[in-house]
Amino acid sequence: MTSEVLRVRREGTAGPYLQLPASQRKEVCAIFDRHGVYYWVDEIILSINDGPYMAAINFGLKGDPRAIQLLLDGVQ
Amino acid sequence: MALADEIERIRDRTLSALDASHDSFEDTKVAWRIVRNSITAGEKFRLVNDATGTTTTEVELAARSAGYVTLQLTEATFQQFLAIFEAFFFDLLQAWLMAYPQNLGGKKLDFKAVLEAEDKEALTRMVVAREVNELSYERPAGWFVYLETRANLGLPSAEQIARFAGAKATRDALVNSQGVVGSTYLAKAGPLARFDRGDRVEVPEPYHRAIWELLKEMVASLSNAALGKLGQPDLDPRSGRTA
Repeated sequence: MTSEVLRVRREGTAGPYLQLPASQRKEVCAIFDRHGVYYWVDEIILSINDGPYMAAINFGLKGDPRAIQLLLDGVQ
Repeated sequence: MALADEIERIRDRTLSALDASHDSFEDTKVAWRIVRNSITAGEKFRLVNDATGTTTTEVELAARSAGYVTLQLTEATFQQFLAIFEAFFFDLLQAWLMAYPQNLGGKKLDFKAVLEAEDKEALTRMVVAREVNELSYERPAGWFVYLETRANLGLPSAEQIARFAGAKATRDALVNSQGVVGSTYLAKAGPLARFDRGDRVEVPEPYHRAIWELLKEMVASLSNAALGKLGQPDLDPRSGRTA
């Protein structure tokens, strides 16, 4: 799927989230859709110092970071 | 849950919520300051909002952030302070009335409600909830008069009530009239009105801080006065009033 390993992040208090290149959003969201994972995508994509645009996917307070990471590891 | 435990729970939860709201205000201010510092240091950003299609550069972001903090953030947390206090006040009142329902002995009920109620407590809860809901539409001065007639705590002071009414009027103007001062604001704020008709209300940081402190003080003093009352030997167990 990508040369960069996607890691679910869990810092903060708003539940787990994922930062990923914006170009991969559709592909990754399709995986979550297939597995019934609840999520929403940040409306903002961000480029820092002319780097690639990055997006964020949020899983909410009830998101299970371990299960989501296992799912991603299985397809990466 | 015993009334004393309930009051302590309401008090502690409210004070924590007020602290958390103020922390979020300060943390967000700092986060924006870090963003501005990094821009000054040469960082370049480009944001795209998928919803609006707006593209924002670091220069535009820095310019907008001042307004985000002084207007949106300050006003949003100010409104949150008031909402937290209102929830506290009515939860406290509800707990008091549930413990001393004799206060509402004169209230009328539909016989249908009596027939459908599970038990006396459910009926009492319904009457109390209705009473508290009706009171919530009155002006703040009326809230405190009501509390005094039911619990005679002797608090808050007239000065605190007036300051609270002014803050509530500011909050209501922000929510109901896009911040523009009209006769409603002037009537609600009374002698402590800070603006003239047609002005846009402002929440400068010192006022934001002062109201946060006022609300914390009112939460602590009202709760502690109610707890102190519970220990008094002349407390009427039916009405919750002391002689």
